[in-house]
Amino acid sequence: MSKQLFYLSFFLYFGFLSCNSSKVITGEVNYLNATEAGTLLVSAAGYGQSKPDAIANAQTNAFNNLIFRGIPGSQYQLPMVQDESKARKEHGKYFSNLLEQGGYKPFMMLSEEQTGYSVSRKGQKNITVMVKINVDALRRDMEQKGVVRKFGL
Amino acid sequence: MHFDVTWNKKVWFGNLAYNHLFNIMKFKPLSLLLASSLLLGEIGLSQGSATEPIKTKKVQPTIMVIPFVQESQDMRNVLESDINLRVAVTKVKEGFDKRGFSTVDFRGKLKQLNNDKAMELENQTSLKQEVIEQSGADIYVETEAKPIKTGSGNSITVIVTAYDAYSGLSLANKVGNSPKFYTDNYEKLTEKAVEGLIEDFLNTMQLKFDEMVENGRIASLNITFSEGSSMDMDTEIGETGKLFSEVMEEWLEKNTYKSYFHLQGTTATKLIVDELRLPFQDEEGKTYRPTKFAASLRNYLKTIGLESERDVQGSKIFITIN
Repeated sequence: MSKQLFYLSFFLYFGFLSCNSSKVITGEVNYLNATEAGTLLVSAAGYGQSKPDAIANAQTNAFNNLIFRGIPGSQYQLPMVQDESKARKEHGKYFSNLLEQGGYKPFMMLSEEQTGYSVSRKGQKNITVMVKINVDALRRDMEQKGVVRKFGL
Repeated sequence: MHFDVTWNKKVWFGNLAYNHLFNIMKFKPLSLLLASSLLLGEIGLSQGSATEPIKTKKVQPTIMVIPFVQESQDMRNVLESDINLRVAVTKVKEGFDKRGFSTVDFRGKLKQLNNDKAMELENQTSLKQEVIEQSGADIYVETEAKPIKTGSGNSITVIVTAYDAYSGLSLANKVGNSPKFYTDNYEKLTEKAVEGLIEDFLNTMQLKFDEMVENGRIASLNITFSEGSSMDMDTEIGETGKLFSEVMEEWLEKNTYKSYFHLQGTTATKLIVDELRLPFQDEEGKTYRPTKFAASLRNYLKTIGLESERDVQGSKIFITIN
């Protein structure tokens, strides 16, 4: 009985840890278009032990790059947050909720798989997802929460 | 005997959790690992929803979007005769409004001015200045829209440039092109061109704002003496024996933003500071204008027994000591 409990605990523990496997942050986010004002369509690559994990990772990558890196070729070339380390230090809870716990979902207008879930050249399983982001709403949320300054002095 | 039966759920559940954890610690080390990782996960989840809005005091600058005109052109005529320009100006204004900005209406301000002045060609350059000054705008944004007709389709090029009204410094510039279409609907093309640049333009402006808040607003200062003045820069002030120019340098060190000022030169009759930095806001959060700086310098000069006159043109401050 105690042996069974041991295996069960072991399985649950590592199963729980694997939930965080979608934390690979890459710059594989490319601008597609912005047909409607205030929105942005990008394709993002995501990695993960399972397909849902990889999709979640791709979505996180899209938001992460928009917020901290900027998306070249789009209107959002400049990152929404200028100093990532400072912002993460001061607003850790906000970014943890937004990027690691699915808080970005209300700002995601579309998420569509572009490729199948398969092994990439890097030897890891990945997927490319087309993500449409409501940038205006995201900015307003960040302004309201004091994460970014409102436009102005 | 009366027992108070009300109880605090948080305390009760807290004690229960503690007891449970204690039992686990005592008997099941691996289960403890599992429990702690789950507990940490819960803490992480609860942190996410605990973000509170931060209230910050902020003074927004006023912005006016104006059409670009050449020196010989009449601003009103240009704007009224060019629908593309009107669309461009309106779309740029919309971009600011979307970011929570109230912009000063250029046409409204123009109408306030004397009609005769607006129609006099020789006054056009000063008219622009007058509109900017009368509007009280801190920043003005010049907008230009140029249609381009080609065999492979028509498009519009829009140029927007933002200037600090006080110093004339350029804050941001962007050029945007609409996609090419076989259409004569230039208004729609103008909308597309502005939509394609406005976010980037505003973000660049915001970067400049941040830089200005960090380093202060640029101004310049000239201190001279009136013809009948018995003073000059080498006059000793008070009992300290310090020269007037030295006293001024000390005052500037204390009263410029982060003690930043660049002394271009000092002669016996003139002290020129070609660049000094002023804060954007005073202690109360109100806009700190160059006139306030000039007033504070005049007040200081009074305390050391000197009468002076001041003239402030934009961000240029002139002090004449009598």
